[in-house]
Amino acid sequence: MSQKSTRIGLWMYRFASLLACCAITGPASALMPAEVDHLMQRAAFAAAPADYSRMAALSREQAVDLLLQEAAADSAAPAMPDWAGPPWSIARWQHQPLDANSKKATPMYWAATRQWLLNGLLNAPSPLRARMTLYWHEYFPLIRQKHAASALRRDHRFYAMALGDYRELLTAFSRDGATMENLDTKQNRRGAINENFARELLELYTLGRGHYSQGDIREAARAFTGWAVHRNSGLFLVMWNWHDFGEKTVLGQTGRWDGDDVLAMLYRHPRFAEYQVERLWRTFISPEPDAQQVQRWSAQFRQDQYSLAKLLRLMLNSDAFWSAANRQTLVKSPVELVVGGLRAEGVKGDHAAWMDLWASQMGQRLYLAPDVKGWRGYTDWLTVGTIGIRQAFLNGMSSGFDPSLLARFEASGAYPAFYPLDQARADSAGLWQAVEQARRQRGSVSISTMMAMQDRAEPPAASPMRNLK
Amino acid sequence: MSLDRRDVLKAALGLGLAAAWRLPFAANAPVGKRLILLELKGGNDGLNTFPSLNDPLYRQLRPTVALPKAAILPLGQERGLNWGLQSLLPLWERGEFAIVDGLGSAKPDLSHFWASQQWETGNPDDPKARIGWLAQALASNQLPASPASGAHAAVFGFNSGPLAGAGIKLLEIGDSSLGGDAALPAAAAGRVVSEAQRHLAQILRDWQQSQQLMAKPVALPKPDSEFPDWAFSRQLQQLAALMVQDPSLSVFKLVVDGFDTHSNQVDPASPDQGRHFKLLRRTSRSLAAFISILQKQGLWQDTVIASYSEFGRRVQQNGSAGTDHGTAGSSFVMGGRVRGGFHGVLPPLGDLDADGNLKLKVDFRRYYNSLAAAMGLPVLPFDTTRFPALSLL
Repeated sequence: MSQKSTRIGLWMYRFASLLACCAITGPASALMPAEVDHLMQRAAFAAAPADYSRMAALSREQAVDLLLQEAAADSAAPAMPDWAGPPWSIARWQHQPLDANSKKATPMYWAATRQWLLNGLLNAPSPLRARMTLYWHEYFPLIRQKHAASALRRDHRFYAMALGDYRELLTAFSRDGATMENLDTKQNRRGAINENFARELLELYTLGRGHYSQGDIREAARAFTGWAVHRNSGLFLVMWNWHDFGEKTVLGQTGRWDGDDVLAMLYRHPRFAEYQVERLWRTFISPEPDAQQVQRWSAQFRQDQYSLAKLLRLMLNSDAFWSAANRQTLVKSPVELVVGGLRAEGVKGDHAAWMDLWASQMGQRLYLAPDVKGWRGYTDWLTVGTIGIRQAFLNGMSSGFDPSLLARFEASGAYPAFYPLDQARADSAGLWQAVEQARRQRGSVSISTMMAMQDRAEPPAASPMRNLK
Repeated sequence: MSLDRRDVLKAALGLGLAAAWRLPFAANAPVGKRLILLELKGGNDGLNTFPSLNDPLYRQLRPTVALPKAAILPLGQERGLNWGLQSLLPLWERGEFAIVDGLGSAKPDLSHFWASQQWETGNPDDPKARIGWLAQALASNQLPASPASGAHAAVFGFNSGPLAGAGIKLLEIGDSSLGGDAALPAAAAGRVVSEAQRHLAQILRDWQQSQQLMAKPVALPKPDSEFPDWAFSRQLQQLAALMVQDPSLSVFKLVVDGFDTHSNQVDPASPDQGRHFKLLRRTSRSLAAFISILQKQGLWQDTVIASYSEFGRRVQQNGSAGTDHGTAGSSFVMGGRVRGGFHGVLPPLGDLDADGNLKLKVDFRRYYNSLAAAMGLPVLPFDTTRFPALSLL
């Protein structure tokens, strides 16, 4: 083990000299590695080894701007597999009978969808955009959908819109086929109102409980009657013969509203900005939003035409975000933990099946939220059942995955059918090879791993504090 | 073992003992009684588990999926046992095996997700209900947590289902061997400040406590028959050990997946190749070995093993030698004091609902009432007078 300790010793020397350099010559506000860690764990899954070097000479504002510039430049979503194409595409029709009707094939397509998203998150040129895509995926939860292709296409769409105009995103959400399937939009017709979409729109996505009445839901549902997507093309349309043209009173305003009118009303409502700011606060800053700050930021958000990029800039530069009191106050979701774990070692490529296995075992199977409210997150991710798996993953990323671990996964009875054991073994070996190669190229273990390792004998284990951010 | 971890373990043990001394003694605690819920996930086909011997409609509607006569073990003149459950036949003969027919939901739903939600919450009326019926029962009847583990019940696998919520503490046994080292860093332990950090520290302590508990070596008697080699067997062996390690723990839940037999449920050419048969055989062999251990330990008299499944299956077979989702099904209950035999009512195959599914005869809330009565839990999250218990014990 002397070789390893020599390498670690060498690395520590380099780290110390880096620190010394910063202390002597760098700008007074230059980011310390711990701050790079904090920023990237919250906004971009984890700090990749390259992030420490490229952010070493930057101030906080400059680092945040760098992330936002990257996000602006990365607007192309990860390539859609051909079976997920629009319903009219030939490739889609070739797969259609399997997707729509076969019970056996459908789990295969859901596995492929989850893996598409996981690879997309890991390999995105802009980790901030990837993080926001995951945010929207969790914000608009899908439960027990029938069609994987439309769910994939929705996330494909949201990738490009993740940091844009929030109103446009919400409109795209409302008109989307996967949303309609999830929330019964197409079942909502004049004379046979289905309130599901209107209810969740007001309660979960725009205003929050206490800011509307049951009557508002009913009347808003009437306004959305006739909303549908064309069966073959997947394009949004309104079936006017199902639409309720009568007068409706929504949020105190009376008129012959249709769905777009209700959305416009919501976008003008003061709670609209506040609700989103609060949700983003709970995702990026701390579990308890500061009411005054929320008011200030909401006002700015409205002024900036609901630009999510500008709001994020505001939030990530704020004292609240950087405050020591708000560090280690949030819990990493399983997907954040696995994507971050690989990113922290500088590993890219196709490791989706591996990530999916671990994230599912930790309790987050993408595209399968427990209910319409989505994953509760925060401390719900840490239970006696999941902590062991999280630690096993963290230890594995630090010092290699124990070959018997997979056998124990299989024996636990929760092993997924889509991931054959020998494939998983090969992927585990391949991933560890990639990690070791990356470390050799850098000449050391990654800084985040270094920070994560406890001072103890071989093999080094990961600190459980890495479960928090 | 590093110094800091030893300290944490000591603290955990100390906490555990301290907690034990502070626990109130509840007068209505089910002393020694144990309930093991066995979820048969996917929708078990009751009609092929306990088939009719003489009903012509059975073979008419299932030309190739109905069990061949040779594959049925008779249980009286009218009904039989799928020969996959052969290992449990001795229990039937001793009168310790009960079958509850026509069991289902008052508002049948053919979706795995929603049907499971109904069964787990004991509430067919509220799709937003999320708290498990048994968790509520344990909480309302103030069942005390076990001093050794600090838990009210143990769940094998990831879905606590009927034991979810209501503030009860669960011992979750996903796979205790998966854990790595997880000591709190010595420095951080002194600086725990945020709620997230406090929660993490607590979870680590609970986990180490449960690891300790599960790691205690337990000498189990040799079972009368062999355990088949699969995860469920290992879980049953862990359960047997847990019952010794933690004698005050009285409620357990396990799950066997794979009952969603849309295809190849039965292979008429070789009846021992059908999916349903193979699954039933492995399950019953595991249970038989487990039960023999309990008998040798003197625990069988006070133990009840009760199965449930989110729905039965359609009477008419489909085009893939299988059956699709249905409604009412049959569950089984085993135990030293169980009143063996047939309970409930078998829905007639000639009188189906508009979708061609079996009509409900016994609301699952009556089944739950019976199980709760066996455990001495009078307060339930539904009206027990509307859903009186069956006489299962």
